[in-house]
Parts: sequence; structure tokens; C-alpha cells
Amino acid sequence: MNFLRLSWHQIAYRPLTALLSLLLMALGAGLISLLLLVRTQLDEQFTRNLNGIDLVIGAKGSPLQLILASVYHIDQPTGNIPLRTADSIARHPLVERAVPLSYGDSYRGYRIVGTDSGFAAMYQLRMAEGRSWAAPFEAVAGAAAARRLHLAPGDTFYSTHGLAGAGEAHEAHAYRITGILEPAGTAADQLILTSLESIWDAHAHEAEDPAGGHEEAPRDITAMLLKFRNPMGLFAIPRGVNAVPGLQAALPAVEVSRLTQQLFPFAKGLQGLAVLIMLTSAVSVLISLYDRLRERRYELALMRVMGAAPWKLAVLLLTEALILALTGAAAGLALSRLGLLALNTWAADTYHYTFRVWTLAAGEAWLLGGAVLLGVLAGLLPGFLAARLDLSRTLADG
Amino acid sequence: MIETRELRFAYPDGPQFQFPDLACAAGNALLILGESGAGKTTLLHLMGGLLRPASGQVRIGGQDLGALSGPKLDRFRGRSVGLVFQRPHLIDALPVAENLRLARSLAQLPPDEDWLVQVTDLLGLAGLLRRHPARLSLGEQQRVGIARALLCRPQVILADEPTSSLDDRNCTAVASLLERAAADAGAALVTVTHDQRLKSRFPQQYVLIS
Repeated sequence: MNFLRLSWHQIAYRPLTALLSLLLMALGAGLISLLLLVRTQLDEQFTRNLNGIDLVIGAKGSPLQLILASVYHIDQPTGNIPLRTADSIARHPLVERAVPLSYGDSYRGYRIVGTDSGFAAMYQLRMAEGRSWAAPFEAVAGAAAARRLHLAPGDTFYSTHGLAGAGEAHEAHAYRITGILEPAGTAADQLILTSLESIWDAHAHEAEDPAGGHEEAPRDITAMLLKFRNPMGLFAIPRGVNAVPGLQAALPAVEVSRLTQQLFPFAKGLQGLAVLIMLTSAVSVLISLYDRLRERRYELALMRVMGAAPWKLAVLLLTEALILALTGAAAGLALSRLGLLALNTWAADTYHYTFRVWTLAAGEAWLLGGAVLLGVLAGLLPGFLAARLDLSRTLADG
Repeated sequence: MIETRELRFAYPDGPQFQFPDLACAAGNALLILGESGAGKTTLLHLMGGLLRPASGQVRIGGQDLGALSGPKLDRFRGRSVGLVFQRPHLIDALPVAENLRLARSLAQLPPDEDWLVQVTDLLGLAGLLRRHPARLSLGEQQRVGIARALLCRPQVILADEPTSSLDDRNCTAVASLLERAAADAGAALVTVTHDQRLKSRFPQQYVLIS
């Protein structure tokens, strides 16, 4: 019989005592692991979407809102800007690439984005099937949008006004899907892409007045994504943009780091709480082992009589503490995955984003290491006391 | 197989003991009687190496216990001395069979299932091997304690009040089993007790006087 089995028997014989320690450890470790998983994946997602975008030009308003809307496609846009003004900025020699974005419509909660071929180049998108759009009202669906909406090349649909999916339908023009994109792991997966003309035409139709006159809709766009030839652009361009009435330039990197700075104290607080719970678990392991030491002193003395050296009794109690700490932490990792699955059902509807559940966050190895350390700390004192047991006096008592 | 020479022991700020020289050969049984406070348990712990004498010597199978210390002494005791107590102090979390196997494993001896079956048959424990100690009667627990003391085929079995907490019927049964089992295993059996019921059973007797 090895000590691992012996320790296991000891724990399993009094499952209720072990349960509290296990629950606390699982809760603490689970919370930390959940934070780790969410943070690494959000970080990844934020930086991947940022690739190649140095500056965003849009209507005046909150710069963070502009970035969230036009880079991550999760917030409402700040408003529209004239295409002509945006184009004049895009012609600046320091601009390497400029991609216009035009919003306004959606299909069952998925945003329809009017843009040009520069979008695919900027996000390095590839077609999984079909071809890109060539005429107005031809559209290409991102991988996740296509999967969730069951779209395939040749399908047609009517867009609805607004981004929430509850707006009025544009029944005059049907969109036709010409292609599906490969999954890219970016916000592009969640979009339906089309030409700028499609958006303009859809809204021009709305603007037709009852007298029969046809008024050309203003050629507006919602935002323009810019990539510079060199960092000099960061100094030269934003100032000029901000001088134009109604226009603003927002730096994605700055806004994202400002956002994470705002979330930082909150995440830190949660993490601190989780560490506290794990410490409590270690204390509860310590107390339960220490408490039982009195009633177990005879059997521990007996193990010495049967030939076990003092240090082996210490190892036995240490093993018990370690089993509790590690089992608890492992249960915590499982718990955080369950939490992520639950989060997914909510986030998928709200943000069209799903977390990868079956992955190991980098910090989780440290988390397990921390649990081992806590187990050792909790088992150290009881183990030490067991090793110092006075054999003769203990047995003479009984 | 076990002999003591000029054993003395003193508890710090407590009673001092001077013990007579004793010897018990393999297969023999020695009964040491005495009132409480006469130093019976102290003597037994000295013989088992649980206590160190102030002076004097204990030899088991020729090995001087004073020459061993630490884990070496623990291992020698585990292999050569079987201890039986008034209460058997079994490990609650383990079923009877595992409690018994633990004896050889802690003494770092290979498992010996044939011997385990033989011993448990002799002590009438064959049907109880999968039970937990808490579900056994006192008499049954004491028999498990004896079986555990026998499993390493020790040279000496030291029994401390093995029958004191048992009723008359169990007392007779446990005493005769202890005697037979020790003889079967070829071990020297030293029993200390104040239990007068055992007086008639053992021809070789010694009375400790405080």
C-alpha cells in the first residue's frame, strides 16, 4: 500500500470534511482560471483585430465608441462623415491603405458592412467558397455569420434597418450571397460584407419622395480605417483630421489600452478575492488535518510501531493536503470551463463572440503550482507535529 | 529470543524503575503481572524500543536495540517486534485486509498473502477482511490487532493488557489465540497485564513490584 492510496483512503473515509476544502479551492482556482482564460482570449482578440489599423476616422463623439464600432463591431457608430472629406485625407502621401466602412443595416442581428476590396486585404481574408461581390446587393458572409445564419452562396435575404435586428425591413432590394469567407479569428467572422454602393442604394430608395422625384442620397460613410506608410503618419494626420468640423481621428491602440486600464482595477479586485478564497481553502485543509491529529494520534503511533520512520508520517499528512489542494484546483479548472460555456451562450447572442473553452491559458500552470504550494503549506504543520509524536506516551495513554 | 539486562528507566520528574533481568525463548510465553504503576507498560516499551533505557540492555535475536536509532530502529521494530495493545488502534479509514497488509508494507517487507490467509483463518477473521474496523466488535478488533502483530513473522510479540477490555468469554478466546498464534509463528510472547484471569494460563510468570 503506497502513501498516495493510504492518503486517498483517509480523505474518502470522511468525505464531508474534505468537501469544504475542496469547494473553496475549486471556487478560488476556478475564478482565477476563468479570469485568465477570458483575459488572454480578449487580449488576443483585441490585438488581432488591431492588425494593420493605425488610425480610424469617423464622426465626432467618443473615440472609444468609434473604435469599438468600427474595429470590433460591437458598439453603435458615432455618425456619418462625407466620403469626399475622408477620401481627401486618404490621399495623403503617408497613408498606405485606407478602407472605408459604411453601416446602417443588419440581417438577423449580424451587421452588414459596406466597404471595398481593401477590407479583405487589411484583414487578410480569404474566400472559403464562392467569389467576392462584383455588383450592388451582392454580399460575402463571414464564417461565423454564415454558420449561424445558415447562409450559402446563392442565398438571398432582406436586410433590416439598424444594427439591432429589430428594425424595419428593406424589402425593395434583396441581397444575394456570392461567397463565404474562411474563419479568420477576428471580428470579420461576424460580418456580412458588401459594396458601399449597396448601402447607399438601399437608403437612396428610402429617400425617394412621394412626388416621384429621385434624390441622390449623400455619399456618406461611417468610418475610414487607415494604415500608414511609417509612424510619421501618427504625427501628421490626426491633427489635420481633428481640425475638420464634425470629424475626429481615434488611435485604436490608445483607446484599447485606455479601456483595459479601466477594466484593470475590476479584474485585479476579482483576482484578489479569488486568491483570498484559495488561501481560505488552505487554512481549512490545515484546520481539518490539525483537528483530526488528536483522534488519529494512535493510528499514527501505530504506523511508527509497524516500522514507519517519523518523516513518513509527515509525508502522509502532506500527501493528504496536496491531494485536497490539487483535486480542488483541478475541479476549479473544470468549473471555469463550465463558466465559459455558460458565458458563451450569452456572449454569442450579445457580442457574436465565442470563447474557446478547451484550451489551457498560460497562467493556469502557475495556478496549479500555486495550489501545490498551498497544499504543502497546509500540510507542513500537521506533518511536523505527526513526525514529532511521542510514541511511548501516546500508546501508554490508550 | 528476547532478553533484558539491568534495565533502568526514569521519567523526567517522575518515578524511577529498576527492572529484573528477563528472558523469553522462541515459541515460549512469559507473563508479567503487576499492579498499575508498577512499570509494566514502561518495561514493555523498553523491550519494544519505544523508549530508551537510562541504562541496561535489550537484545532481540542477538541485536542490541541500543545500537540502533532513528529510522533503523523503526524498521527493525517493524520487522522483529509485534505489538498488541489493550485497544488495537486500527486505521479507521482502511478495511481490515488493508490494515493487515499495511504491516508488511510499512516494515518494507514483500506482501505475503498465503501467510495473511493462514493467520486470519487461525484467528477466525476470514469473513471480516473487507469490513471497516468501526463495524467490528471489540473482540474482533482485538483479534485483528493480533493478526497484524503476526504478519511480519516477528521474533517477539509484546502484548500490553491484551485482554483487559474484554469480557470473560472473549478474554479466554483471545488469550488462547495469542498463545497459539505466537507458538505457530515461532515467536517469543511477552504479555504484561494486571488481568488476574490470565494467571492460570501461563506457566512462566513474573510479578513486578513497585
